[in-house]
Amino acid sequence: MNIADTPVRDIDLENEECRVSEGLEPPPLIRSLRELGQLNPVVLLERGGRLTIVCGFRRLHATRRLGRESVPARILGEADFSPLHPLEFALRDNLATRRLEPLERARALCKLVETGLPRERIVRDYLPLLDLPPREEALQSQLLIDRACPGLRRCLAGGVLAQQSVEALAKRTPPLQERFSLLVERVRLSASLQRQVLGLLGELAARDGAPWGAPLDGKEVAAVLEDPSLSPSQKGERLHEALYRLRHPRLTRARDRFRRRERALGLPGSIRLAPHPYFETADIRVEFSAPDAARFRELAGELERAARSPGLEELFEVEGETP
Amino acid sequence: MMEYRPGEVIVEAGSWGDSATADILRNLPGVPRRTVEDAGGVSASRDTLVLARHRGKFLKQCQGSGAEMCCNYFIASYAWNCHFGCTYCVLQSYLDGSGIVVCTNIEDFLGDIGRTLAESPDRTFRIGTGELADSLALDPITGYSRRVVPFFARLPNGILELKTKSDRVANLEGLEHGGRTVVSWSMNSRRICRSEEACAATLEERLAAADRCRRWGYRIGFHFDPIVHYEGWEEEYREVVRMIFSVVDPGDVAWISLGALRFTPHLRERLIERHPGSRLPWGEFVPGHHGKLRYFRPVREEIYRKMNSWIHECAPGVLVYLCMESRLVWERSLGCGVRDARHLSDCLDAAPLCRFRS
Repeated sequence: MNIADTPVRDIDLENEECRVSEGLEPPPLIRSLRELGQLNPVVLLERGGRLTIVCGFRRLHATRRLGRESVPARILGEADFSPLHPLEFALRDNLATRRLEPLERARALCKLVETGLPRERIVRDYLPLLDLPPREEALQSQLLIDRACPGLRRCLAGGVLAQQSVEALAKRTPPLQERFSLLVERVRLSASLQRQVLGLLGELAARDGAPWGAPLDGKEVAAVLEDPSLSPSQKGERLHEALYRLRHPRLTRARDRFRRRERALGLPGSIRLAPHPYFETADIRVEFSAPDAARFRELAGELERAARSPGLEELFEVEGETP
Repeated sequence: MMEYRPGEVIVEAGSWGDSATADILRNLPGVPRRTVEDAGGVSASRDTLVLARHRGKFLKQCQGSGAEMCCNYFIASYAWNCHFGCTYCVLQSYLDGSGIVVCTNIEDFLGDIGRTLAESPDRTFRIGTGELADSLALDPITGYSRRVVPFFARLPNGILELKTKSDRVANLEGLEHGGRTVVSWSMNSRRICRSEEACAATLEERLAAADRCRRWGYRIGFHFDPIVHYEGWEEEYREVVRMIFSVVDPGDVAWISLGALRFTPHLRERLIERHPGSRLPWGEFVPGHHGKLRYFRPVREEIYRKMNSWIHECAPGVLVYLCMESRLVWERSLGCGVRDARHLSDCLDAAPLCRFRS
């Protein structure tokens, strides 16, 4: 085995053909190198008189950061990797010791495609290795993620956006991707809300024949974003609500009107009136709970009073919602 | 309309013994054909006509049965799938990839219906053949109407509805129908016909065909289904109502049904994927009966109320009914003309046999 102390200046750090790792200078690694030194040699490929990195991108970048001039390296020729491509070697080396982050996984697959490896082989051999189903669509999703703009990549790495959302957003133009990544840095959306918000933006664009994301410029969304009283999570919920209103204007107006009429009845908060979620029937469910007979009588009295109110009939109407 | 001319005919081995097979193939000279042992596993586009024997029951209750206001309709199928490919059609998700299938044991079809009706002589059966295929689009090839219409004329408790978007009615001329066949057209606004039903007959062609059937003594039905809610829908649908009654006398009309656009979420996805230019998926839909997406109730009520009033402006006595709607929607949009599901069924059973005064 050929392990040599190799000058860092002799290594082409710009060649990232075999790079799998996402963050190149993680602080724990720098700390470890500073305190313990480099325990394992990096693997370099010697090709045409040049040395490129196969395994050890992070160690090499951290070494450079520490100002060290040489690293222990195992230097191999192309024949030494055969029949694998050096990238496959690097990938398998990484997988032997750790689970790849989503962006690393996407990067590895994209680079495997770039090596010219048959797609069927990538799908069959590498997707299962990366905990992905061996299907072409899964590969396509990963390639999309790899093309995501820096903002989206940041959001995925930071857990702000789900992988599925990044995949959906990566189909949009880079400015739209950046815009959405800036938005989700201000509002917090659960994975489920992300899916719903993206779905609504797609539906609104198709319905209105407008550019995707146009409602984000609207006053409804601006009002949510600029409201200082709302937490990021509340802003996320309100953002979804604002978009839902735009997509379902009649239904949301009917719901608003129902709540207004319910309030006008003056019932105590412990009595809840629930219409059919889509007003498909006129039925209203009445709910209350009482800990004892006295409270029961009290609430029943409130209902009796509401039953005499002239506003009760209006509660059963969904009229006036047609243009 | 686009004439159906298959690129290939697949004949199930057992079908060669049916006289219908020879009749159909005679109408398709020059079309390549091959035989398969069992057509059940055939995977083909609509360009392929599959001739096969149907082994199960032919007569089934409509899926609306059990709904609050169900019209108690029966479906009888001797063909499956349709070459018109209307964008919203449920057959796209239901029968995709099976080719267009025509059953060749038409005698069994008639036998099944005859037996079922004979078992319940006190009950009237309204039976349509247009649920899983267009009733007449393939008739120039199959000629089945010439067998089915006279058969129903002899049934004391059966009413046949041939439901179509085609104008292929030539075979109906001169048949002894005994007033027991209603020929119905699915109607839509001109805009929707052009954009979503592009391969079907035009409005004018459908109405010209209806006029011919009327002259041959058939009662006529119209189904405004699916009605699409879009900006300007009122004027365009009203125009179609006027067109109908400029051609057809109200007394010739057995019934008119109304149904607003609805689809399963899966069909909606298919529509978006296959017809990206279609405006249909972008209405304000809410989940409804059986998980189908449909317009918000007040929108549907407005559609039905207006359509009903326009129809009755032209034809006050014509029976208008709704497909798979709740009693609430019936009452709020059509008033209380029909008391309940039983009454609705009775009205529709009687409609073909009595003539409304215009």
